[in-house]
Order: sequence, then structure tokens, then C-alpha cells
Amino acid sequence: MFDGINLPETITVALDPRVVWIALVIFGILYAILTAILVWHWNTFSYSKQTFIRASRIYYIVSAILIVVAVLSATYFTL
Amino acid sequence: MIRLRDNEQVLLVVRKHWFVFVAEAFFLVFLLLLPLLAWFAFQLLPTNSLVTFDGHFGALMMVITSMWLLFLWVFFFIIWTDYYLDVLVVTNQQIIDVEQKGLFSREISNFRLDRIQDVTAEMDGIIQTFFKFGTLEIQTAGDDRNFLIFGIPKPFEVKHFISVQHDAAIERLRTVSLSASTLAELRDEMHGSSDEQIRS
Repeated sequence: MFDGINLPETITVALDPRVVWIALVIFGILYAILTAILVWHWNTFSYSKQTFIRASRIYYIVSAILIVVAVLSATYFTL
Repeated sequence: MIRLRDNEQVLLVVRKHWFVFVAEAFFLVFLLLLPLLAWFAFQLLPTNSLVTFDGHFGALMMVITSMWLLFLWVFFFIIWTDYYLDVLVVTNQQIIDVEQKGLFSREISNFRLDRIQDVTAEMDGIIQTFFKFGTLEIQTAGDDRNFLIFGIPKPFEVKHFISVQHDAAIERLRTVSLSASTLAELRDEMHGSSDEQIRS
């Protein structure tokens, strides 16, 4: 006789930290490729060297901050 | 980089109005808020009592948010690059229109100032009138296509400047043709006088 399905009260989701690191590495590679394309454009077509330097500086600083935050968070998640 | 001819001088460089860039990049603000909305959704929805996460959920969200922000940051710079590389250059000889279409498409058109037949400037709507930008249409002689350039700041002033440079180019052409005809006359006169000298 069928007496119903016993569903658990809560579902626990677990994520392997390696998945996070793999995702981070793949994203990092794509990010590096896009950055290289952007910098190549600025270097090749830019009308002013000063604007190119200023723009790339802002781009690199913010990128570095975000990458550091991502890596630290991933490390914290792994621990 | 734009290569100029000999004795060519850049007189005016016009980039699209900043409003065009802001309008293109504005949707990124909403995308920027997406992780925050997702975070609130997780907190408010009753999923907390049904699904539990094994591990530090905050750290995982931070990793995802950082990657999302990095993605938006690259996207923002792609839009900026597209905006920055679009330029209209007026020299004393020609007009050069550089159109960057995304990262892998670029179009450079140029035409001589004396080939211009008509320049039309247009401001359409409240936003364009308020922020002083509009469309510039340049019609050229012959089979050359017309040039439509959107988002030009102060289009009426640019139109006036191009008209003045067009008149100057036409004037230069006239001067050159006059000089050529004068030279021909001088040459004829010289030949005539030398013939007379030979006869005498």
C-alpha cells in the first residue's frame, strides 16, 4: 500500500570548494583575454597617450581590488 | 591613429556628447544592483527554512558578486572604448569620420572639404535641446554617400565651422586655378617675347 513520500524538512546544499576555484580560474582567464583585447585597442587606436595611461590605470586598480576580494572570499570559503 | 597628409592640420576634433555615453552605460547601474537584490531575495523568501547551505554562504556570495562586478567593469570599459574611439576630425583639407562599432569593427571615412554640398544640423526633442547635442548630416558631391553623425555636441556650431572651412577650401581651389592660368599666360608671354627676340 502506498503511504506517501517522506520529504525531508530541510534540504542541505553543499558546494565543493574546488568548484569555486575552477570557476574563478576560468573567469580569470576570460577576464585576462578581454583585458588584453581592450588594452590592445587603447594602445593601437588611442588618440592621446595620456588618456590611454589614465584609463588603463583606473581599469587596473579597480580590477585588482575586485580580484583580491574574489580570491580572499574564495579562500575564506575553502577554509 | 589617423594619418594625415602633408601640410594637413587638424582644426577640430569632435567626440560624441557625454550624454550618449551615459545613456549607453546606464543599464549597467541596474545590473550592478542585481547581486544586492539576489541577496535580499534569499533573505526575505522562505527558502531559508527549506534549504540550508553547507559552508560559508556569505563568502560564496562575495566570490560571485566580485566576479559579477568584474564582468560589469569590463563591459563598462568596452562601452567607453566604443565611445572614446568614435571621433569626427576636421582638418584644413578633409573631414575624417571614425566609427568604432564594438570591439572588432571599425570604419574610417574621409572626404575632401571642397566636395561638401550641404551640411545640416538637427536637434530633436527635449533631451537633445537641453543637453545641446544632435545630429549632423553632411552631403557630398557625386556618388559619395552622405554622412550622418549622431550625438554631436553643439551641432550648429560644428555645422558653422565646417561651412567656413568649406568656403576656405573652395577659395583655395580658386586661388590655385587662378595661379595656374596666370602661369600659363606668363608662359605664353615669355614664349612670345623670346620669339620676337629671335626674329629681331
